Amino acid sequence: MSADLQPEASTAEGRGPWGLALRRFLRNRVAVAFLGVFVLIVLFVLAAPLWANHVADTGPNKTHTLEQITVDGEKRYVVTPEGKPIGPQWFGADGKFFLGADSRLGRDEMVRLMYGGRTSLLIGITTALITTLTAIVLGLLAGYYRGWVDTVIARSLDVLWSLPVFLVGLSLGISLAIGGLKLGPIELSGGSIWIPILVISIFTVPYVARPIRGEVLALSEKEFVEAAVAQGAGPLRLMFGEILPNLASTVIVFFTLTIANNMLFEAGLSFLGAGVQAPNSSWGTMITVGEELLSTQPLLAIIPGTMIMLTVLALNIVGDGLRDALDPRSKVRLEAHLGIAEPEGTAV
Amino acid sequence: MRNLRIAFSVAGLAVVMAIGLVACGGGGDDTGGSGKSGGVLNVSYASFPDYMDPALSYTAEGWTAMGEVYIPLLTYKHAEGEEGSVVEPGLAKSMPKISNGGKTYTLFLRPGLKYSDGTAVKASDFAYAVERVFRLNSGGSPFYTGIVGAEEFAKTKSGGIPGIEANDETGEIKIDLVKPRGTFSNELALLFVAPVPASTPADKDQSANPPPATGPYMITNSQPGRGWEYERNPYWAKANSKAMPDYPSGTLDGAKVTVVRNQQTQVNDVEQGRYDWMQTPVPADRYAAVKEKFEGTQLRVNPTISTYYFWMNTTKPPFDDLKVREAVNYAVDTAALERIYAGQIAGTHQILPPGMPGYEKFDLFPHDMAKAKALIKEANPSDTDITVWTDNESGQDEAGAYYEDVLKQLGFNTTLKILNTDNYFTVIGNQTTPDLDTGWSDWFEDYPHPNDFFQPLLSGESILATNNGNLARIDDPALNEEIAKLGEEQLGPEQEAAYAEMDRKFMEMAPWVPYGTRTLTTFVSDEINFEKIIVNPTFFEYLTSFEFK
Repeated sequence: MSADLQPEASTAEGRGPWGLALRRFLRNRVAVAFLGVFVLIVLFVLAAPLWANHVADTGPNKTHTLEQITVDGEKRYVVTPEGKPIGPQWFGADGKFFLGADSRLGRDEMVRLMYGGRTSLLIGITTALITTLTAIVLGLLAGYYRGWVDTVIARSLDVLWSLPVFLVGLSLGISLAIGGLKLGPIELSGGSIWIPILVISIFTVPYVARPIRGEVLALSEKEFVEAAVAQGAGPLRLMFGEILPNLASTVIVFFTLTIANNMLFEAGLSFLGAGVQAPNSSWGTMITVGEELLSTQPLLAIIPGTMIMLTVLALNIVGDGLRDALDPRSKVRLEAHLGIAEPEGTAV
Repeated sequence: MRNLRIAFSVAGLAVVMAIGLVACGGGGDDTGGSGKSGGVLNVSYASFPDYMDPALSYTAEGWTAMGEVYIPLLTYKHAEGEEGSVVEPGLAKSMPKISNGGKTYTLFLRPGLKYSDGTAVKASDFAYAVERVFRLNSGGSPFYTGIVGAEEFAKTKSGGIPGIEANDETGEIKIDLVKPRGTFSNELALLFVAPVPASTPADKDQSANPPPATGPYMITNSQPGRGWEYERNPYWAKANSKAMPDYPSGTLDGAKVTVVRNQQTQVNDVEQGRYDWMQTPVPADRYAAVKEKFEGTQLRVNPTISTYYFWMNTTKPPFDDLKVREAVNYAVDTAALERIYAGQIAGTHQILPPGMPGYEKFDLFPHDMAKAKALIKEANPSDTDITVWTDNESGQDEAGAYYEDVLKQLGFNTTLKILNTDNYFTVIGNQTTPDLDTGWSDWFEDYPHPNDFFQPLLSGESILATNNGNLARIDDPALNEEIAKLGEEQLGPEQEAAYAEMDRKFMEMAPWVPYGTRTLTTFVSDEINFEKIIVNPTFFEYLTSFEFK
């Protein structure tokens, strides 16, 4: 470690905090590798229309129950008369049914996996964005103003926190999926992807807002805030101009981890029928469909399950890497807690 | 009735695996035979019945669950096939005396009958049961609107039904009908009007606290969504079995029913003996393997008198246009649906199923996608945004997705709603539910009479605010009149021909896309005396016919 410290020390003067963080992150090979995995997953799902239109020649919801395909010169049913969907054909049918058919509807599993991944990632990222932005605003207001504002916000978050999140989310998801949502000018149909987005976003806010509030409470006592107050800065400038930039590392880490958590939340809701509504696919709904054929076609559940696992794992490791890079002291604290800390002054 | 979770092995009339009638023996606690008496049957249902209240349940699951708990004045013979469709006295001493040109039915209650809570069964309890059907807006109410004053009572829900006279002293029950009704004896044998004590709340579903029983078993510990238990009715041996010596008593001490939503798990559990019987059919992807391994020893496949169909709401665009409905009929390919159900349905494209009197095979809309598209183009529907409804049972969910894809190919913007099986019919049967455009449904015979496929499902009077049976909301005055007229007559060759013609007339109006008739399975563990099980066309597996080896 002390050897590692030397080159950084020699160049530290020329680098800003972000540059240093990037440097620290890049030095974490595991995090970088999993960032690569995540990027590959994103590219994979972004390529869905290309694969669907130019290779599989079908859409994600198109049924092929009675059709036949040619595999290595031989005609085969996509779904046999006994109702068994065709298994993975890899490139035997020129990329058609690469991973087989998803069910007795004969939909292309590979196409659904790619489109389903887009849905899962879209929900994960959008909900993380909504959650994080809401949490920032609530955390800043509660931590800065304190008093009754803090009481109202913090207790409301406590109420949300105390709910059995998954069960309430499930109930809400199911009821909204049936009746849709009408809230003033906002009108969402039951099958809208915004329903799971809304449900997940609402219930994950406390998990981000509470730590941010804590950090704001601590930051607002710092000298730089007092200096800004002395210069006549108003509340908005103090919150968004002084405190918020100092929350950046926390926010980035939380954002990454929230994507992963929310993807899992979505998969759970969709698996139980309260998330993404059929016939649209997400990795969660694909596991539900695959579950029915688990005994005869286990890959139909295993593949989307593996995709969720890889994505969540990648995001968690990248999130940890970002945390270590943006706030190296946290790593020192953790190592000290675990009794594996380096001698003082040598930690990076 | 509807089949919530396709569950059972319906019996179909054709089945007749000449088994088991032996079990219909005398009134003791033992039906005889080679099996052992006693034991608690472990049963799995894939969903809780629509209601655990005899006045309300209108699904095969509910009727199977309550078939040996509530005995109507008349009942069906504990037998299979055609014999199982024979109506015989239940709580009534004998079959009704029909007088006044078919408009008056007179019955006498058997003396000495008691409910499972010890209170005496009274003749007036029948009148109360009929009133309850109307007070609860039960889906079964159209069967009884022909009773004098019933229609008025249905509106006011007060003052009693003058067409029913009950004498608690003599046990006499006299029912006056507005006009003759050829199916009324069958309808008196339905659970809707099985007598319940007058203390049973009249305006509240009793699923969580089912009323006291008159049959050999009573329901205890009913937990909607989770399961229920059966115990022996303590007053069966003391009173009712003596009053009804021909009614089977069963050998089991009781049964415990658990809702196991995963049908794969249900199959595994029965295979491994953790459950004795799965009331749900074997799911499609396990069907071939289970059939090969267990057919004849633990599994039987029963044809049914049923029709699976997609309904279209004929009262609003786009399905108020006949051309659109015809187009959808041409577009749906029954062969694809046969495959989706893994061969467990036989394709058909008409309302009456094979095996039902009056069935004459025809197909007005052979699959032709090009013709379907041309018809849609011609119709040029103003509203193309439609919602497609189905439930999440294996087969139905995929049938719904297939149907949605077909509608998309016809140019509609579709939203597919897949509901939990437990509440599917409650939701789509409630007219306040928004966007009830089109969706899946099924129908299993209530009794072997073709009227049962027209009156509850396609007559104007069956359009109800809740528990709606006429999902297509078709209300054609001429056909309504014909349904009513034929309903007054006893079934004969002339009437059968008229029903066959009615089948064709309805299909010319295309309110439905019928696509098949179903076979279902009975799958039990190797602990069960398989050959004794009776699968009745109306009540399916009788609890009293189960016994351990």
